[in-house]
Amino acid sequence: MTTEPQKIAEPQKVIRWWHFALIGVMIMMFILFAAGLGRDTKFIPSPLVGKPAFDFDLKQLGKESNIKLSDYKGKIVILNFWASWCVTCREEHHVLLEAANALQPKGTVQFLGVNSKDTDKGAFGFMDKRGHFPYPSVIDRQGRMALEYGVYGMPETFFINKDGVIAAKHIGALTHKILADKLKQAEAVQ
Amino acid sequence: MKQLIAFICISVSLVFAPSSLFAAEKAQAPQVRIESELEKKIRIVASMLRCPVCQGESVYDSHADVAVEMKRLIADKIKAGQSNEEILTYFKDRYGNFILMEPPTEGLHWVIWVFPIFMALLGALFLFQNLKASAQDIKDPHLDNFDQDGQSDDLSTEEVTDIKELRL
Repeated sequence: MTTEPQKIAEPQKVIRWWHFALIGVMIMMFILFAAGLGRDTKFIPSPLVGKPAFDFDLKQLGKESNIKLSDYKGKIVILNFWASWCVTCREEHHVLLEAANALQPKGTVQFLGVNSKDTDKGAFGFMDKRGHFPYPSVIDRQGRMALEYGVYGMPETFFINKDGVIAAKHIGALTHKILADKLKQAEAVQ
Repeated sequence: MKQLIAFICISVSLVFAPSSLFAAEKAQAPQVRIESELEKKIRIVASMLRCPVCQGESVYDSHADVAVEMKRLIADKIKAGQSNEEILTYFKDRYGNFILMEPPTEGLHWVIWVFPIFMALLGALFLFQNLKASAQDIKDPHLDNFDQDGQSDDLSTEEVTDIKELRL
């Protein structure tokens, strides 16, 4: 006499709360990674945007006179930090020359350079080779002005609106498109 | 002869050993410098700030131009009587929280601090539950049916005997 083999009951799968927690965390991480992938890694938000620009009083490059930022109140100021040793500054140099020649005659926009951690010889050597800026530059020999503006590295450009408030900031070489976009922001923020 | 040479060598080395040790100590002496009070204060603040152009390096550890200038500025601010908090706030206002080596535990930043602990706890729980489940799985379901007298309702006496022999 043979007996039928007994069927072994499968242990019942129980879904516990921590299963949901684990799935929830995995979904959250996936969303964070997806959001991170779409982010521009070069963009670092500046806490200075939307705040009044630091008013400096610095010696002008190649001249004995000083320049104050507040001298240009009522105009949009495009403040560009540059140095002769900065390789990326060479890339954006023609953009600054062309944009300044086109925009400054209108009288509403003023370009201003900040020659940071450089020497007069180096700065003039740079301009002699690549073309002189059609606007003044101030000297920031030690780089204190760069720290005051939270500059990471050269070049960096600040777009200051007519009220002296920083409307936008750009890290790296400027292009005509970036300059136009940031200028629009400065014109819009009053 | 060999013994004599060995004796001379050992004697010479014993005579010069203390003086060479002293010379080494003397050579190292200028490197050991007592940190001034100002340098200590600079070190504390600069260690709390991130070098803006470096990868995960503090301003204190970095030799980058910007970090060197930041250290000079910190020194000036300490000399001017500013507190550590005031100096850190100065840099935070210009560079944002990024400039701080340790993100502050405010706003959404607490997630950064709590998340690893939460994940560790969840992982430990997951491991515990899995180990518990596999410990249950290795038990033979037939053996669970034995009562205290070794009898089973589902199996015949012969089958029970066979299983018991197998267990032995």
